Amino acid sequence: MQILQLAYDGIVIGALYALVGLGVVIVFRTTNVLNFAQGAIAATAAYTAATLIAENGLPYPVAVVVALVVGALTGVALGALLAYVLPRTTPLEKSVVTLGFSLTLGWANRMLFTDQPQVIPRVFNIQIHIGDAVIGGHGIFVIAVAAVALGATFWLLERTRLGLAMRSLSQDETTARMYGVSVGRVTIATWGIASALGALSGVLVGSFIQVDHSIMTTILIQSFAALVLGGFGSTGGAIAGGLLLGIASSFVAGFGSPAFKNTFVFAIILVVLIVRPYGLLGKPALVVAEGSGATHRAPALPIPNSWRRPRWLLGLLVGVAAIVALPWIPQPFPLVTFSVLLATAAVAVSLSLFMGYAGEFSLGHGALVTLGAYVAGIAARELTGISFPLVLLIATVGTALLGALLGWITLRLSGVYFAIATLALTFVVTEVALQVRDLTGGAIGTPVPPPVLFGVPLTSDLQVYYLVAGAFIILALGASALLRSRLGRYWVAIRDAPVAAAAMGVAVSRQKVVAFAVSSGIAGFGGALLGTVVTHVGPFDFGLLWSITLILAVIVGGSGSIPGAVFGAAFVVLVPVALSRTAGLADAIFGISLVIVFIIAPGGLPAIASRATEWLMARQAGRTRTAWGSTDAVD
Amino acid sequence: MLSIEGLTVAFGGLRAVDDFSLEIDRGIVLGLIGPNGAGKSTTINAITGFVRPTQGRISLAGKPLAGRSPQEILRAGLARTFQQAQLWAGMTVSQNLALPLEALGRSRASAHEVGEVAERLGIGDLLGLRPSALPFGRRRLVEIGRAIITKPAVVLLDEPGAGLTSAEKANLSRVMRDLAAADTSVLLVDHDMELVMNSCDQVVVLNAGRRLAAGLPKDIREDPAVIAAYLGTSQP
Ligand SMILES: Nc1ncnc2c1ncn2[C@@H]1O[C@H](COP(=O)(O)OP(=O)(O)OP(=O)(O)O)[C@@H](O)[C@H]1O
Ligand SMILES: [Mg+2]
Repeated sequence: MQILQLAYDGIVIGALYALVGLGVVIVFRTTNVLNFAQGAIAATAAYTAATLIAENGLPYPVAVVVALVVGALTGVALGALLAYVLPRTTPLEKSVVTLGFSLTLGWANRMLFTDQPQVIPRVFNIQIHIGDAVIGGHGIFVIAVAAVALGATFWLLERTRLGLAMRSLSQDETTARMYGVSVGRVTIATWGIASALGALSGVLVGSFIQVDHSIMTTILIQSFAALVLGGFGSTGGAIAGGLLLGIASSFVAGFGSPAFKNTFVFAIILVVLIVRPYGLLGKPALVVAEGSGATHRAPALPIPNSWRRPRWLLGLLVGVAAIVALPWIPQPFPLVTFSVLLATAAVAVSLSLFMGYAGEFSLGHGALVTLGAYVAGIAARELTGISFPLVLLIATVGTALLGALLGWITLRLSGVYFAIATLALTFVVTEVALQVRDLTGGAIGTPVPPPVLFGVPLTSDLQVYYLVAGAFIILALGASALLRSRLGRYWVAIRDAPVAAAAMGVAVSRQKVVAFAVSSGIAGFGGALLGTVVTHVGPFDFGLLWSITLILAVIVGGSGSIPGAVFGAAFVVLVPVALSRTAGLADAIFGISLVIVFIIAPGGLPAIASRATEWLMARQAGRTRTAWGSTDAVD
Repeated sequence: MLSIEGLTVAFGGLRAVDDFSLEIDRGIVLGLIGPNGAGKSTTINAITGFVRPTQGRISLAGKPLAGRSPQEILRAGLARTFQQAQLWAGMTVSQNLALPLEALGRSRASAHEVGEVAERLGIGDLLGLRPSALPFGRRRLVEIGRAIITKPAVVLLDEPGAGLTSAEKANLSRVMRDLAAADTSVLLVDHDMELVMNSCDQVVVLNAGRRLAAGLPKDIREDPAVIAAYLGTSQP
């Protein structure tokens, strides 16, 4: 009878995955945006329902309807933000904005509701016993509601004019407009329906498990996995994938160990991507490489041309001088903050190269950093007196190999799969680190002993600062050399016009894998530095939130730029220190700044710099003209 | 040389290319014309590995190419340009020209070949500039240069004349004739009838994915079916 119990549990949870996943698919199919805020929206709805019932005494159905409306409106607000405030951003950038929105919404939830997890009372508390199996009334209720909602959505998408309009929009906005599709209305409808589905899942989940922000994130990841399983493009695939994954993970938890649930999910993702990249129900894509123009909008940073260019050399010298002189300049922060900053900058460089040149974004850099930090800790503990450069080398090569493997599996496919795989990696690394306690110290983590250079352990903050500074400068020089190499030219070609790159013989997906492997290696390098600076590493230190913050650093600094990476790292490291960690406020600020950067300065720091130069030149030209104001007339 | 038999490309229910056959001999310029949406670009995309053909055979000198990757197809001797400009903005003209050689692992002689191709196209003085600093017509030439630098057997040009001045078009016509004389065949897709008539040895007309007519330029110009489908509507 255990089988019956597990199957039933699996169907209930699978129905919830399907609800969340279907919402994600609807948005993705219409706008090509991967909505990472779906989890936060679901949490908002769940909090709303719980508060209305517990504090305002509203009856369940009323509270649920209000919660669904709130959820839908939140989603519509996000959709409107993307469509009207950020109309010219790429789908990739819009997906990043949903991450920022998710952060901000999480903070708002904490402010508006409570820090405490919430419970929504169950509607049907009856239990049916079949042998050993207990079939809960609420589970049946969940299955029934989900079935109705999924059926209605399916009908809406496949059988109505609205569904048709949504599909036409995803193909080609201009053509859709020509045929009289109101883009605004369809966008609003899309986000509304999708978010209502997410909200519904939040409300239903809230009766099983306590509602908090992280629960919904976990469910979101599971539902992403379900989408990979079912095939990202299809509605039916979302539902089938959700049920399949729900049942499968229920059996794994029942017969195996629930501690490896995410790892199991990750393994499924990878296997499906290897065997059937387009999902179990999906169809292979017809268009191998898109025939239209490049999507990259940010200013095309030129390859740094020559080492001998005086301006470049001057910049380098000023940068190095600033780094060397910093400990002797009076300033408000403790020195270790700057060691963290430079180590973070190293990781930002890694992500910046990848985002700037391969044009994809990774949510797994936190996981790679965690690995690098563990390598530093474990290597120094097990091999006492090991030289720090060797530690860096091990961390770099190890993470680079992992990156190569992950990239090889996922980067042949569209960026969505890659983003999801890297997201899953984050949770796998945490899970594994929690389980292999002998090596990692479990939840408490493991200390990272002081680095040893030429047989001498470096213990003072100053020594460690200079060690990190030296490592960073070497890394920055290495990265610029890389960009000047043939590899760098391939990456520029892929960034500027991927289609032409493919046509002119660049193996685009292989080069993306190489770029991710290199990026992963540098992330591991930065992770070893970070672990060494902080002198400790645990499974939760560099989680999803950290990865998102890193993306922000890269976007603020301008992806592809090395000085920009330092600037971005300074932003994300110093802001929380300056706000002295007011709970969650830094997250909210980061989330909002992500949006603001896209509005005022897409392209980040380099774009601001080049615009400022243009403006200055225009002003100067203007001044010259006024000074010689009469020449026009003479001519 | 390049032969296409029964090529069909369907996007969902739409047959963008429908049972289309084409043969391009060595050393000729062949014009492929047709109204907007006729399937010309899709044909090029299918030949060069950017779209998977639903049906049909594509071969170059007897070697089958359907289903290969763009990189393999370039290596086999087919190069192309795009309807929309696709230069690499972060690289200089000479880096743009040299990259295909590097990508195919032939970078040894690249400086020499870059200079040669640039001279041939009359852009030798622009090698150090970035594409954004070039006038539009020159950018188009750089794209052609990038396509011919690997010495392909056939080069497929998707509307290279769009947006050019008449002097630039005359130059383009000369470039294509030179290529053909040097045994590189050219597939020219363009809407400019004068350019097509002046440059091509043969013309094939595509309409709604199907071959409507084929023959010498002067015959095509007078073919009533072609005029009805295409020439009569917008072009003189
Ligand atoms: N990737 C795609 N997905 C769906 N339909 C497509 C795709 N590419 C082209 N089509 C459709 O195929 C048909 C042929 O398009 P194609 O671009 O080949 O025409 P064309 O002859 O090059 O036209 P033009 O002269 O305007 O460039 C058009 O109806 C177009 O909308
Ligand atoms: Mg075309």
